[in-house]
Amino acid sequence: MKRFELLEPNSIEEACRLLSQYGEEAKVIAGGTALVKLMKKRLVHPSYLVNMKGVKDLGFIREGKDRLTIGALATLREIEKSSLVRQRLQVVAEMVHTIGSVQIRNVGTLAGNLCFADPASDPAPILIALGANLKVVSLEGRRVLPLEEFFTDFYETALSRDEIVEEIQIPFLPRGSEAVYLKHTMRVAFDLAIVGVAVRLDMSSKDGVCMNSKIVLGGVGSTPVRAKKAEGLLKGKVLGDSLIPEVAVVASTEIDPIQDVRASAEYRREMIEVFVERGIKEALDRANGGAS
Amino acid sequence: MKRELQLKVNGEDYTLEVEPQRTLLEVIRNDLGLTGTKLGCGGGECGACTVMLDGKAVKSCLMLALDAKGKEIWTIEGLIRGEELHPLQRAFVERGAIQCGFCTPGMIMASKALLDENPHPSEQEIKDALAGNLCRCTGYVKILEAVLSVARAD
Repeated sequence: MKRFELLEPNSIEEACRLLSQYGEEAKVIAGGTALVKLMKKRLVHPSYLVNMKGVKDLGFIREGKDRLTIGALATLREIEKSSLVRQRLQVVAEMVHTIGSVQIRNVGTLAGNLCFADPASDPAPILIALGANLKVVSLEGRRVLPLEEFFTDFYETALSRDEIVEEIQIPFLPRGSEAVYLKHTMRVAFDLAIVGVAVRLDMSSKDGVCMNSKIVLGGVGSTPVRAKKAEGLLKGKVLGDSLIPEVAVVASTEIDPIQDVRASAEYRREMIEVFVERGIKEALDRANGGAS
Repeated sequence: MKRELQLKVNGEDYTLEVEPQRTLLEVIRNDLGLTGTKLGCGGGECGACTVMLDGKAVKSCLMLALDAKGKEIWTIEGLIRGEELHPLQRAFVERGAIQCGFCTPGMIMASKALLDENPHPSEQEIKDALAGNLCRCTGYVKILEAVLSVARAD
């Protein structure tokens, strides 16, 4: 690694001030599992690292009235094992379990994963489907940003230069709503998603009609993308055995997948169809009180 | 600019002067001379550099040494008691879970972190705990058997 200066603020405001002062030459580090790797490969070489680990009280996982709030320094492992997360948003605990390895999850943070903005990020699709928001801090104050508007390009986010994510707010699913995240990888363990599919269904408890849905895909574009045409086809329908495969085909044609080392665009398109179909069926099963 | 770094490694206290860009792995191997912990891929994929930091398995190749300030670290060298191998070390030897031995310290430290937290894990829990550790010689059957034998021992 190239030499850098390690800056260790005691508060998030002080960290913002350092970012504002050093600009493009500074990067924020929390767990470091993604950033250190890039620095070792000399793909990024900041002159200053703003180390967040000295900032107190950012490691929380809290239950609010209608949502879960996760502090920027909560590790992936803490989230995965949290009984609160398991009880209230099990799909989040399940998703986190598929990230990296135990050693990575012991150190890496959810906020860091989101800010790194890898297009194959596992948390991004499901948290967008759940309607998560980020609370971010800058020298001007705080603002709340929908996660759906956070990702702007490969490894790029809507954060301005002196902004830092303070917490992730994840609304609980209302009664009748279910969500799943399915990840297609070559190996069972320790792989990035070729296609990651989050499906959220809001079902009417009266007549079994799908009132709303979100289908969010990761690993297929420069940012997570929603299959909005496919979502539109589910709205107001009873989700029968013939409709679901049709919707999956629409999802696979409305998305224009990328090609990279992990898979060709054609293969991704096929897998979008397969995994959107599976995702809708599994979310529906859960909504009907089946496998949870 | 060097910073002071206080560590406790295998029960011993150390005070070092360390540049910020150095990884925990480099400090363990080069400054402390504890070469049991291995540099494999250097990118967090292979797990050969696994050590325990405050009881948790971490990849020391991806951690800045200064982030380990004030932490308690255990490496493979800390497991032996006098002449007596740790039960995990003995199981790996007895069950042929070692060939070239390069992945073994990482495998054992990841297994130890699991067993310290969960003394009787299921087979699946062991597989999850070792998912971040690659072995290129034996395959994983004997490694799994070795950890299972310790998990079922008492």
